[in-house]
Amino acid sequence: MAKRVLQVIPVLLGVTVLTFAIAHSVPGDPARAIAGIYATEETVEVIRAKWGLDKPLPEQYLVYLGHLLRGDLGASIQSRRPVADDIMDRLPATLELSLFALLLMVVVGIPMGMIAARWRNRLPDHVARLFVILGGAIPSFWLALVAQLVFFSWLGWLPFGGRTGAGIVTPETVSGLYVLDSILTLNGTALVHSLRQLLLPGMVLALAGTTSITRMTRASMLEVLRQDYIKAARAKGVSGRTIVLKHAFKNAMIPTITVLGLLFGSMLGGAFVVEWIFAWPGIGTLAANSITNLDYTVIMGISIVIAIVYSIANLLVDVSYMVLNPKVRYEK
Amino acid sequence: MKRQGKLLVTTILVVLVLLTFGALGCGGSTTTTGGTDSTGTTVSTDTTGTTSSEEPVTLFASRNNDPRSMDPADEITGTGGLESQVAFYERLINIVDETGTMEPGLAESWEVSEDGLTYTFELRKGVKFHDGTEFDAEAVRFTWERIMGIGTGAAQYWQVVEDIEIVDDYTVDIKLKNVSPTFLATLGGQRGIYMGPSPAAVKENEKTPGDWAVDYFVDHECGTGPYTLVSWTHDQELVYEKFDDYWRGWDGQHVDQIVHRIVKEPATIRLLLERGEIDIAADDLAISLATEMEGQGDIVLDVAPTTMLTHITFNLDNGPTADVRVRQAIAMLFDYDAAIEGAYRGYAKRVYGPIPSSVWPAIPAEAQRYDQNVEEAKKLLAEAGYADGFTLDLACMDMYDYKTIVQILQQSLAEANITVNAEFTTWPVLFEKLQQPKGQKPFGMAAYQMWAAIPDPSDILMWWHTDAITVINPGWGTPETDKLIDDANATLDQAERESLYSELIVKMNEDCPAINVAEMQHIMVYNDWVKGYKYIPYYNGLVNWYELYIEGKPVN
Repeated sequence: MAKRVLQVIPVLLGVTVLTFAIAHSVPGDPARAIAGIYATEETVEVIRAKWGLDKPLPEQYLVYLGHLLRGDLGASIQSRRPVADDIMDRLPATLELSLFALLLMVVVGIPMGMIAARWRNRLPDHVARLFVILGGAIPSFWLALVAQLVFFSWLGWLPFGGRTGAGIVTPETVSGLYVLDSILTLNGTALVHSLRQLLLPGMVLALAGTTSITRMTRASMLEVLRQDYIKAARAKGVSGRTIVLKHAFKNAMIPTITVLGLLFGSMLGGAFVVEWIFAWPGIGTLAANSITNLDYTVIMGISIVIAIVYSIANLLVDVSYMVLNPKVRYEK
Repeated sequence: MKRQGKLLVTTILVVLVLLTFGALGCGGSTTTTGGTDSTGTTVSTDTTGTTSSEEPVTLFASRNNDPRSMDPADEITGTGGLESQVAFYERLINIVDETGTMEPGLAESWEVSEDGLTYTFELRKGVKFHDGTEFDAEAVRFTWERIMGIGTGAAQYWQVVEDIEIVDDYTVDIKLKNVSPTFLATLGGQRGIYMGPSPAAVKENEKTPGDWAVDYFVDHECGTGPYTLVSWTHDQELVYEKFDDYWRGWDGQHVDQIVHRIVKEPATIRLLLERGEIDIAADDLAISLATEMEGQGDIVLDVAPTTMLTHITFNLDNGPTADVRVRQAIAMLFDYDAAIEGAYRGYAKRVYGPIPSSVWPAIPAEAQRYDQNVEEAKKLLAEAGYADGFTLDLACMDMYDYKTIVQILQQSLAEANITVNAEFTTWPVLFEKLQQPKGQKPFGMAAYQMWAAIPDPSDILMWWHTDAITVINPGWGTPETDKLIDDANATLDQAERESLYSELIVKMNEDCPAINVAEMQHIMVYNDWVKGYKYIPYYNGLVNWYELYIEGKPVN
């Protein structure tokens, strides 16, 4: 188990090297981006020297790594603030949105997949599969705009987006996740407001993942139901429901949990479209801005943070295998 | 069946609960009156707008992106924060109309010495910074020292200044290194010349002595302007409140509070405007979107001429475009009218030279003009040996209506078998290409905008000096043309400058280093209850918040 945790380190190191190389291979000069087009070359030089951009690349990388090992992610060239601050400002928003979307995926996708498997080729299955096809085909950008149009503009049921601001009540900060904090501080208005703000972006973000989960659950459920030990249980006279829930469910969940882990990882960085349209202040927007402006330190910082969160998520997935299937154990 | 049924029921219940929460928040408007936001201040959204009302009037503006910095010494671009800074900081001189008329700002009057090297400014008395300290000659000198000390964004606008002498508490002598016909216009211009932050605020917030408090003023301000920055939640919103001791006072109609919502998606801004949740779209919207919104709900458009033109420059050293005949041919193939209709929806005009018609001098009659003339173009190409056409790479920004312009360019040039491969990138990447030395420009053509930020042609024409080849000049210029530009910048004689620039324009048109696509008009989109908006082309993208007020807004 400990070995499994240690494996994260080379992964993170690899992430830093790869990201550094890619970020610096994009043409463009961040110092010039800050100085603006009317600045003189001297001005640009001043900025460049200040941020160490005039040193050779390998040296820049080592300097960065040195700081990183001391827990210093550096400062943003654009905002001058420590990168860690910029990221921590926005990470809770992304985490909350991703977790909410994940919850929707689990709550909607898994039951739907199980029902589809249980009544294979009958009406519930057809409905589920139609949902999967439509959900997979609809581009999230388009869906986001339509959802905003319908629920905000036409019906006025939900806000256009945003997480804080005029008219939105937020709770005292405990974890940074507003729903959780509202519950912890017993703030009813804040709870309603946070859920209300989360709903539209969460649903849109969840859609693509829900279809994957449904499909995965249905397929692995069907696969498991075909197994010999299931036939044996049926022959023994065990009831249908017990078969599904007690014997089949846990094993069928293994591939599904894997997919959930992957989906969570992709949502961390890939919620960009949803963040853009619903003005959700997450790290997706920060990442896009920093890439456009060639803010190397922020790009690196975000990559590392996402890699860490993703590694933790996958670690949890691996742990869950041990819970679901006692036969799974990792090398000591 | 029981457990599975339970799971189903639970699922349905959870979804219903979520929807109920959503419905709870409905009721048409999603802005709660008297709600408490996270900073603990009460935000009231009363919208009656009468000045005698006790309740504060709030204006809601949309912004396209999160600003980078509020420090006018460091951040000088519109999208980077200048749009915000203008509410907090002020200039010595203000330009008040499209012809460039200058009026006293923080300076009450000024005069130039005989030799043009000393500008004496009498400063306005009784002006306070937001921290209560006095604006005086010391503050002017300190602002300059800080700008030069920081050495980034704003410093370039003060390069011509030798020294600033404090004559008395309210008088300064600005001494120049050489004569500068654009100095006054620059002081009234858009960038780099704002007074502040107050010396006391800087000294108080330095982390280390002499660091000019650069870190502090990224997200704080201390100017003399009408509004103060109350809060800034990144990627969400900024809130301004009026500065009670503002020197112009608060008689007349103004707004007390401004909430800027950062909304990146233009389609969403449209929805917000239509529903009246946003009063004014403070940042520019694509013309195609703006024109669609006209007349929807209570939305109005304010259309005004700008000092901006779009051009497509050529590679002057390599490839077919190195031949002037090829360049002229391409200038005669381009369908200008289609571009004006297609890309600008008619909100643009033909421009026949390197500067727009809003900037002096007028394009001389003897300067060569290019209109679409396909036959003539083909003749020139054949003469140059390119009857069979060729391929060109076009570098372009992935922005607004460039895509349409590029499409029209491709169609127009296809008439002569010229293929244009367009590469859309972000501005920093495009800029990198433009910056390459002469002979190494990695494009056949490059499309971008030119714009006069001061009422002086030098603001555009100086970029055609050979010194600017590693900035945005595509490689044009000779010692003769450089001399014209330098001479025009060394004299205060208006007539002489006009004649020098006219000569330059004639030479440029003859050599055709660029296709001048169009000069644009500016469209501002807002709901009709917003009054007082006036577009000043030299302050493109900046809103004069103090002059705005709300009248006749329907109450929800």
